[in-house]
Amino acid sequence: MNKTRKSLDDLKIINFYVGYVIMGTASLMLIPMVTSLIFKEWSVLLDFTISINMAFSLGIFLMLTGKNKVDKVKVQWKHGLIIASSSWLILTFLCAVPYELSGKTASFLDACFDVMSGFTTTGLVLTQDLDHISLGLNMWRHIITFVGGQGMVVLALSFMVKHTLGAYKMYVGEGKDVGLVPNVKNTARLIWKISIVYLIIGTVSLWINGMFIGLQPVSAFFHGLFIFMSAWSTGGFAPMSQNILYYHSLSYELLTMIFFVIGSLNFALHYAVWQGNKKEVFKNIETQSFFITALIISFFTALKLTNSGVYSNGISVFRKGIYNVLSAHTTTGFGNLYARQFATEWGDFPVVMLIIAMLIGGSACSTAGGFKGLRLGVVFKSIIAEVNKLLNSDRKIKVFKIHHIKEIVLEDGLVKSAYLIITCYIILFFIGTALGTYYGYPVLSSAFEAASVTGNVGLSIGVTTPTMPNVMKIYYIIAMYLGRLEFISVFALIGVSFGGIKKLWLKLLKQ
Amino acid sequence: MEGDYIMINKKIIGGVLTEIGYTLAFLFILYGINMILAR
Repeated sequence: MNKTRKSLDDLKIINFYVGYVIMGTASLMLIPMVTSLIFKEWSVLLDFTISINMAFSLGIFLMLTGKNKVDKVKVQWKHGLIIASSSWLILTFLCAVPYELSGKTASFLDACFDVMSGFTTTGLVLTQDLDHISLGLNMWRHIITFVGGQGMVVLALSFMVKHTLGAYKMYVGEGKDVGLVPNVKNTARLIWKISIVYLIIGTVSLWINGMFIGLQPVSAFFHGLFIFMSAWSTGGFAPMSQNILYYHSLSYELLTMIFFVIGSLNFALHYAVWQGNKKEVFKNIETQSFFITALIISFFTALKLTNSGVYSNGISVFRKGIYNVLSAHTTTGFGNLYARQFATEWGDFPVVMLIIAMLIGGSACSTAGGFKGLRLGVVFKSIIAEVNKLLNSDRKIKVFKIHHIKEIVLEDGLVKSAYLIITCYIILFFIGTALGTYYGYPVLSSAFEAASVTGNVGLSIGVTTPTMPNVMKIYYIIAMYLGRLEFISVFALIGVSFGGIKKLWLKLLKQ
Repeated sequence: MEGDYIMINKKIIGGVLTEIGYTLAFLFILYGINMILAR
């Protein structure tokens, strides 16, 4: 009896915070609503009015069910993980409603795919007729990706006045494990402050650039805002179906490159640099790892593209080759090529390079995906440590350290956790590749798309289309979700759900 | 207390310029390698 009450208390506390996160994220629908109002998009306004009502109703209901327990029950690790993972899942359905009502998606599954792609900052698109969708819906698409990059839980925590006791557990559940400042609420606010400062700088610079390349001032502003939100979140959404290719502008490409590279850096690194610790950029294992891998992958891609004569000059190789490599490595997914050009023009080797870049990804506790430079650095250092141990006799014990904001001793737990997450990513990638080949796609194309969804990148080689099999759409949604939340919190949700089903099943059998 | 995490001062401008500067330097290195390969 006591055990059942405890489970009910767990459920109530989870409900309360999930409701809170839903309310926080759903409030953002007010922005596209105001946009639609200003630009007189009445049907879009109606779509968002319906959607926000649905989300608020559910949010309030969930909060009410757990209201009486919120001050009495302490938030535990399992609660935090489940709050983060279930909020993301429920919000995917709720935020897909405006897509569905717009009639621009072939099915609700496609709408959910696009929302999950946005939240996880992937950037793959199934919405049709992208060039003619309303400003309100376009605003919503980019807000989703911008908020997804920082994290919905982070957003909710930023405004949380009370109840911060177990906040850190929810924050970690969202795949962000670095405390920038001792208080998690202030950490969440700091993440938002860094992003907002860059939002202003980025939007203004892209706006001015947009006007220079011939866009009308109002249009240039929205293009600048949308592209910045996508670049900073390493998202990859763009207002036009041709993505960055639409602008045909070197300066636009250069600006986006700067913003997505900075966006892929760890928030703790931003904080350190903003505090005046500029040397951290060179000492940090993540930036070292990113610099080395980006340099190697860019070098070999450029070498192959030059030698095979795909592009006639160095500037073209830089604009097309290096741009896409960095876009893949930072898991942004901005592209200035048509999807099929990777397969038909680039050839196999550069595509393999892109797959490797996509799997490695950006920095931990950033907006980027992939298995992250930090883990790659830890694995590399652990290999050096093992070789060192083998070569030296046991008379001499050497302590290996990594530098990530501070000196961290390379302990077995840290190495094990890095290997575990990398293994999960690789498994997810292989299953995705196998699934693609099952449905008749070429191996390399399947691998490319699987790496893109696993690493939350968004580059496509042409597999992701509204006509692809539903099973693949569902698998890609799962892969994006798992890849973004870095497995553990989703595993906790699955574990608890299965535990609950098992209990219910046993109870029914007894009766 | 606010000063612990709010940095609306020169540090923000310094930090942003540093990050943009380093990123540009990194892109310039890639561009340089690319141009050498293309010769």
